[in-house]
Amino acid sequence: MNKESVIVTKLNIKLKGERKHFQIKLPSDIKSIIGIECSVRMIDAWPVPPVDPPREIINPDGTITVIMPEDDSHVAIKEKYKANQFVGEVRIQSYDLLNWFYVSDVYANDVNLNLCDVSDVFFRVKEHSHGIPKHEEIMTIPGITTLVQGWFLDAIGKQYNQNLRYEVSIYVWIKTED
Amino acid sequence: MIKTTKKRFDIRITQANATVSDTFELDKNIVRILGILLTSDKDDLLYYRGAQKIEINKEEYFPDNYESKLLMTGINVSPKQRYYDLGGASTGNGRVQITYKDSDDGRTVFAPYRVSLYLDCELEDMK
Repeated sequence: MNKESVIVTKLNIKLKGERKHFQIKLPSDIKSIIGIECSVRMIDAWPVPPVDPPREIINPDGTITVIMPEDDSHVAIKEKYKANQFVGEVRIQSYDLLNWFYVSDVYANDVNLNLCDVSDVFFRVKEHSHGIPKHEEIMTIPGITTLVQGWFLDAIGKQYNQNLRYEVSIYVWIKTED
Repeated sequence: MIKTTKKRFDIRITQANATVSDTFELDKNIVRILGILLTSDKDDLLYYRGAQKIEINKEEYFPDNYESKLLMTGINVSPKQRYYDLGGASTGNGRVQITYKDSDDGRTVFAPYRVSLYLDCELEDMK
């Protein structure tokens, strides 16, 4: 009988432009790698990208209403779109294969979840309330090696020219014989 | 006759960076766990700060440091698809253990919160 399980590896990044090499030990009864997944946990408060100022409207009774750009219907949708925070790049190689079998960009979160959303301003679209289930990237990497290796290269620290501390988790889903 | 039922078990996280472990016992007539789901009264804290190990019948289904956000779903997901599919895990001795770890995250400020573990269970009707 086959059994699926996951191995979690954590990398602590502290320096801008840091390249962290890692090895992941796999069990000896492995049949194949069936998925990879990455995520980021921020330790420091991260720098906030510059945002457009809100628009002020003076009402007939003299009061002022402030409208944030994301709620403003006068702002074109394409201007509301923001690039996700690119954290870094991860590459993983198996000893059974000549080249990388996994190369991916790692992003902090989806900042465009609320794009074109018509929800009330008191129930903003957030990842933790509106997110879809997260699943690994499915793949089949056959082989009997008990070690994979790779590196993670920081990009966000370089972008802001700061030493930002964060933790990258790499999930390797494997199939073993029970 | 086979029926399904949902079970909920809660733990309280009262200190930042604490590890809380608890074991819950299922009813004797529950034979399989079909799915698993995590929620909280402060979803953002669970999403950004949480990680846990989950064992069923002393068998590890999610290892240490498996982040809680990977077992959460938002309201955009239809209710029937919210549980993480375990493919019918055998309950054995009926004990489910969760070891939850809270860790600081730059996007949140700690406040005490509740973590709820929901299980989608299959039970044998004794009648």
